[in-house]
Amino acid sequence: MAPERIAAPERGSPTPAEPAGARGSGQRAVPAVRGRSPAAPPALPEAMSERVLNRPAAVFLGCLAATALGVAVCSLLPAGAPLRLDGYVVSLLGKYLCFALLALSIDLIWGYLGILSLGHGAFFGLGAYVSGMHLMREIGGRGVYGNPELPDFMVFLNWERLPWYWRGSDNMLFTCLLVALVPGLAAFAFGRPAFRSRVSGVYFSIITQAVTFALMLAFFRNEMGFGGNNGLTDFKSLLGVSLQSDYMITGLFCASALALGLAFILCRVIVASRLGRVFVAVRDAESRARFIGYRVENVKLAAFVFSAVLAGLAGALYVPQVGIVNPGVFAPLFSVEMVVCVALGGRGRLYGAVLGALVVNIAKTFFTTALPDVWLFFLGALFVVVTLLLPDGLAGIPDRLGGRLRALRAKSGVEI
Amino acid sequence: MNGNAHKAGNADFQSAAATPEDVRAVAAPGNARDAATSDDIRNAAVPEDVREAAQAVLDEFAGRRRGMRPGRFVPGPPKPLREKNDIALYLEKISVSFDGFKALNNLTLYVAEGELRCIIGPNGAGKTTMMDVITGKTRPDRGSAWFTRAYNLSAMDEVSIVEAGICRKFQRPSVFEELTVLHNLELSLKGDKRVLSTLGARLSGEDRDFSAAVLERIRLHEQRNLAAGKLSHGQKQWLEIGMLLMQKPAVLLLDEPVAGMSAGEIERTVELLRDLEGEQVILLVEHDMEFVRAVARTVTVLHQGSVLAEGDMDTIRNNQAVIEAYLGEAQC
Repeated sequence: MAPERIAAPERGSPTPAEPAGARGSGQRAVPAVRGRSPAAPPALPEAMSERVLNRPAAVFLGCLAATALGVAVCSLLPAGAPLRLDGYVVSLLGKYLCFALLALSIDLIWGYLGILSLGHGAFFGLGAYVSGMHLMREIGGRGVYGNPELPDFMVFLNWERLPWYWRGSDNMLFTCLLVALVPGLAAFAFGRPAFRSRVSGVYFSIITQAVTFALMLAFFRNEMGFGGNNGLTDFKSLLGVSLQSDYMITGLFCASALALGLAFILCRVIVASRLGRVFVAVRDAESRARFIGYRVENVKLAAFVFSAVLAGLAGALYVPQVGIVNPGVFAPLFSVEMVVCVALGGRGRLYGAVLGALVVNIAKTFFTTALPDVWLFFLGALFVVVTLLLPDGLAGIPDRLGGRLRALRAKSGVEI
Repeated sequence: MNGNAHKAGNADFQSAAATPEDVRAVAAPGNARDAATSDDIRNAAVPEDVREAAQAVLDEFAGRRRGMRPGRFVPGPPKPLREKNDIALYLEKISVSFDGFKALNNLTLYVAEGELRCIIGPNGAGKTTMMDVITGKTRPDRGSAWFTRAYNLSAMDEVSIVEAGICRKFQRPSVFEELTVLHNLELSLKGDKRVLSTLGARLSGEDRDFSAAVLERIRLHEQRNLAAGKLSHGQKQWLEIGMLLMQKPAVLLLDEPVAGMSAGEIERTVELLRDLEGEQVILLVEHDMEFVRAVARTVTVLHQGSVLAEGDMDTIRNNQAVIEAYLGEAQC
């Protein structure tokens, strides 16, 4: 049925002059569009993409590099020098950086994509166990039982040979590969069905929580072959260098700082690209994003897998610096604490997550040693204060102050 | 050859002289799913029923198709009944029910290429559900939806339908509020939208010019660097239309584009639509009768999930059934 051209006199086939004239009348009604030439559209002067190293990112990377360099130099000073940092402190700082990397990975998917994972500790833990297995194999004959092939706990359990999944764990390169692959594949296997069936919001958070809890229960079992309750510990060396030596401690700290810096840059690259804007689009209006042609489930899955790999890397670097990994890393509480760190630091900024993780963990170390009873009250109070007074988190303080200052200036300018 | 076979087939079916009961058994929705076999199809008398029975078989297969090994025979979906080259959108005998409530009831609607069609109807007439069916958000219980004779919409997911060129504006303006107007348009740009290509995507000069042209068309050039959340309600509606235009659509589905607009804004939306008319099919659902009168050439009235009347605005206004449908609602 052809469209009936009814009432042709007033509407039929407008001449080119007609719309232009009509636009003119439109201009009069709305002042915002006045002064626009009705002919060819003006060109767009904007550089559409955001800079990867914008000012906050550059400042953050500068601070990170300066701190890392300072700590590294101080830790290698001869013993007794006034500014020398003890190995214990350097390891502790390295541990904070690993937590910061985990927080960063959470912020990428929570802050930008709106996926709240309450079980990111699972990926951290998987990375940690992979690296723990390698360290375990490196002990070799130096263990309590002196078995050159089997780790101590397997000898204790009267196991005859290594389980198949321990094969290849003595190879450093293979371990590095697995550090990325295992959490990545786990995230893929979990995320694909979840995002395909459009599980989101609270439901997704609860499922991630259940997954990490299930992993914790599994890793508690001796039959799993990961040391059960005690986990993997008593590590001696990495790449033939003792874990207690200053060089190794400093090296691991620098590796953590480097990993954090690189991960931050990678996240910035993603966030500043068009993909980063798609993230925000999916977060704010998922069905609109789907109806302009983005396969939302693939976007989410890709981000989730990438985030899991970062979390796994953080776990892998965490183990040699702490000297132990046990099923506690899969505890839901640990994952939730990391999410709280991100919220405190301010989500959706990347550096906010790092800041939050550092502040919370430094405070935690201080309180749990000096005032152990006060720690949880402090954490609770911090959370309440930030939620009430600083909705953008700690990282939002400069923006808020800047906004105040500008408002004040504008006000005084008006008065003058 | 094909067309002839179709006609010859009809004659055969009639000569097979099935009993009316058989035909009904095939046509009835409940039975068709269970009972439709190739014999039923062969015995059916009227082409519509043949199609329905075939559809039922297909529906049955649809669930299993994913599990099938490649190389096994999968019956192709039937092509739309009407054969006319200038029809862009075929909706044939579509029924959708939610928990027993029939949102669409045997709806049949054809929209021609380049047509601007207005859909009106009282609340609950099934206007939005119809859009849901076209965009793949809702699967029809029965019936078929085709975009030209190439795309079977009821077998495609939302993203494939968008890629085929059918774009939809939602009832509530839905834009990405935290992104600027320009970035909203950039994301909507037609092109490869897979994850990795999006990561490396850059805006070419051509795309820039096109964005500028769309900005001009939706009159948001001045506001292009403003966050979309800061726009007025009407401007958001325009931005959403602009986002659809960025995809160079073949079919535009506009769900209440002037809801909440001031008189001046409505006037400019009318201009915009007249400007767009002819480039693509536009399907417009609207409550605002003034607006419909201003843009519509052909109007379709939906009532209780099916077409009540179709024609130009004056015919519709004098149609007794339409008057009753609207008055009936007003009295409630």
